[in-house]
Amino acid sequence: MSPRFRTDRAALDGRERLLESRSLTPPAPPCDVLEDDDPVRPFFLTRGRTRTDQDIAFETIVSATDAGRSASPRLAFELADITRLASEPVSVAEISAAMKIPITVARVLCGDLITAGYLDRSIPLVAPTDDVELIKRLIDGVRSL
Amino acid sequence: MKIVVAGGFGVGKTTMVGAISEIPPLTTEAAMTSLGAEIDDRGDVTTKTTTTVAMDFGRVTIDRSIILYIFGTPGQDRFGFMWDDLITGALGAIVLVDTRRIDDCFPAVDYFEHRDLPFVVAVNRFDGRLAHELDDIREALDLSPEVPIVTTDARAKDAVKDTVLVLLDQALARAMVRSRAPGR
Repeated sequence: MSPRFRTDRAALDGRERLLESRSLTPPAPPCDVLEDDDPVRPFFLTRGRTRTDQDIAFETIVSATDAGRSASPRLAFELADITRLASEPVSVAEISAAMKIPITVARVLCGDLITAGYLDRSIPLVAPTDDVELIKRLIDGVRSL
Repeated sequence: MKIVVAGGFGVGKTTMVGAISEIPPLTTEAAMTSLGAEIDDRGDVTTKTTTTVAMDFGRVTIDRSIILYIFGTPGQDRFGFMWDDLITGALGAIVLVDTRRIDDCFPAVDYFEHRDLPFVVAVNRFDGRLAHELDDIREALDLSPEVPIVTTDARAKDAVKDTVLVLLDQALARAMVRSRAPGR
């Protein structure tokens, strides 16, 4: 907290506030600490949201719907890019790599596009970890690589 | 479907991903937000930090409906929300170990044990040699008996394939137990 700010508050709120302000612990830095020199915060594109209501994982495959394809020219840059990339089925992870945006950000944006009806999840959301037949097929597939 | 390859910095995770992937490994970064006061590596106390961690991944198309993604990610001390996201829906994890720096993989082993995720410890043979016996490594890591420990060569497709198969057998065994469990 700067001395100027403390004085202003004291002037406004009187002596009690002044005493209180002295006992305040130093405030947190005014912004997040970024470990690199990137001037843009990772979650800028998502207006600060780090989660999505849509149940999507990094490996979830998405594809553009007809509505998404026709809306694409009107969408914001990143959203338009995603719908273009998803003209063929593509994973959230691959979108993130292609657009050089953090995977967590890509997921939020994909969630928005699914909510808007512009993207579809190509793969139904069964719990793959409990699916014996699916894992057996995977094992056979890996064996024959 | 996905599996995760974890381990210390420079242990060969990206090499391992690349050995089995049908595409050259792609790199993405994950922004991790950690809330709450903590002391970071520089000794500074921060209340909220956003850090980015590079993550490489590869892809194996099994058939029209099954694509296996392999995520390689640093086994560092600061496991943020990203890690929980990463293992959600994962079949399991491979913890890649460099015997010259066994302790680098402690955080990953701890993490997977506590998340009840099937995992395999794979000891990377650099130059074909193994600095410690597998039993010694098992003891050093205090692994429970059901966790397999194997040797691998992160550069060799067949060795990596075998390691993945050991993990998938674990995943299958778990799925079978769950599907037999009452109420499911």
